[in-house]
Amino acid sequence: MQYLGLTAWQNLMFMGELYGLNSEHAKERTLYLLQIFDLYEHAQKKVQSFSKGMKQRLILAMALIHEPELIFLDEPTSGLDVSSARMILSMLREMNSRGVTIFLTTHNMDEANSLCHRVGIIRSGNLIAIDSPEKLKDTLDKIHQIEVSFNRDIPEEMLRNLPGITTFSRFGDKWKLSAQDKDLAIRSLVALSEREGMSIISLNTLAPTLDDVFLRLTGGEK
Amino acid sequence: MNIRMVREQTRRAFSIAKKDLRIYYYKPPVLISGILMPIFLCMAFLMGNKSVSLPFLIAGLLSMTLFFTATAISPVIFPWEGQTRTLERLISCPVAPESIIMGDMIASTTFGIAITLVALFIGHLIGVTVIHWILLICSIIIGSICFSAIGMLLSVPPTAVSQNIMLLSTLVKFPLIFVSGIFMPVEQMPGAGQVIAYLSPLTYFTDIARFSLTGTGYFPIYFDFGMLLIFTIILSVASIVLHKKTMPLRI
Repeated sequence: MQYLGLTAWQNLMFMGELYGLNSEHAKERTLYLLQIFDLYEHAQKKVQSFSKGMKQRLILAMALIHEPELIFLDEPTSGLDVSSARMILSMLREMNSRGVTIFLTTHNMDEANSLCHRVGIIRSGNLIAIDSPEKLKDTLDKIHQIEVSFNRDIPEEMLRNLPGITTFSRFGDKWKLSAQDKDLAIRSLVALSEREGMSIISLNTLAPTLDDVFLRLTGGEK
Repeated sequence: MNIRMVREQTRRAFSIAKKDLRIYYYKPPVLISGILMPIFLCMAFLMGNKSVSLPFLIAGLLSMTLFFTATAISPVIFPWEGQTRTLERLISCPVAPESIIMGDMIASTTFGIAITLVALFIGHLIGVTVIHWILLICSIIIGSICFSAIGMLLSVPPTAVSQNIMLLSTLVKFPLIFVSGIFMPVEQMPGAGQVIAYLSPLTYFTDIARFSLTGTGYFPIYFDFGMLLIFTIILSVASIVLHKKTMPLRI
């Protein structure tokens, strides 16, 4: 947290002093951080007048004053406006590309999916899974979901014995299929459409999202 | 801890003191009440006892001003910072608990000295002359450290509710004023009162202030300084030891 009764400049300088930076270096870092976090114009204003996004940017700037190699962030974009959230996420990507290790605690799966090299999922205080987002999604389900629609209605029997397809059900004008071998299932559907003189209007393979992984692993999915 | 680390931690303690002064002390209501409250108490005392000499009264004013200002804010800094979670931020920095406590004490000591000098100036304006300047200034410095340590001790209970600490503070501070020879010289107190007066560091500061302004005191001056120093060391060490124990409970 930052001190609401101090200005942005004073908060950053105070952090610099606590991390043992000499005065010149602290001023240099303060100036740099105020500029990159778009707070320079508000440097001499007390933090109590800042918006939530500005406060959050200042907190991150304070954490970076001593150029750490490792930082822990707890919900850094929670409750922020889009512009502040994007600025913080782009800063995190930039820091990470410079070699800074970032531990991010978040409930936002999109954020974890797009930012993190490795994602750990915690349930009741225990780490129940840890891997890259894609590997987590891949290990979630060996059964793949495929959504297909044809230019005309087809009876269930046509799909029943198709190689590679495990289950199927109708959703409106589409069929949702599950398959253990995605490639074989798609080839079977294409062969079926050619054999029956139909055309495929749409065919989507539905990859599990990190949300699905989280819900499945934490038992939130009923 | 080597000398370089001590120097680094001392620097951090002064940074914390600077932060405290900016946030908690440099506020018009705090500054004004720091000066006005002792003046009002003295005026009330004067109204009820018009035979008292001006130097006697001003010595009492200096004692109350130093005591009240040095213990005014320091007891509530920890609860406030615990509540706003800035203490958490402070602890996560490379700062020793001793530096945090010393920082708060330095701010409180500085505030106490500054406001007491204003009270001394007021005394000077109304015609009180100081006989022993050096003794008085030294006692103000030591007394301010000692009273700041009392303030810090009052904030040891790990609560985030500052009102609880304010209540405790009032319960301790006001009785001390009445048993420390400010309104009634120690020699005129009943036996039990004199025993209690010996246990209050404020007694010794008041005696030095009185000696500096009137030329006479109840205790020998070296005894006053000795006792004030002993209290300062004991209270400061106790404050650091106890805060180190309760600080983790505030997180």
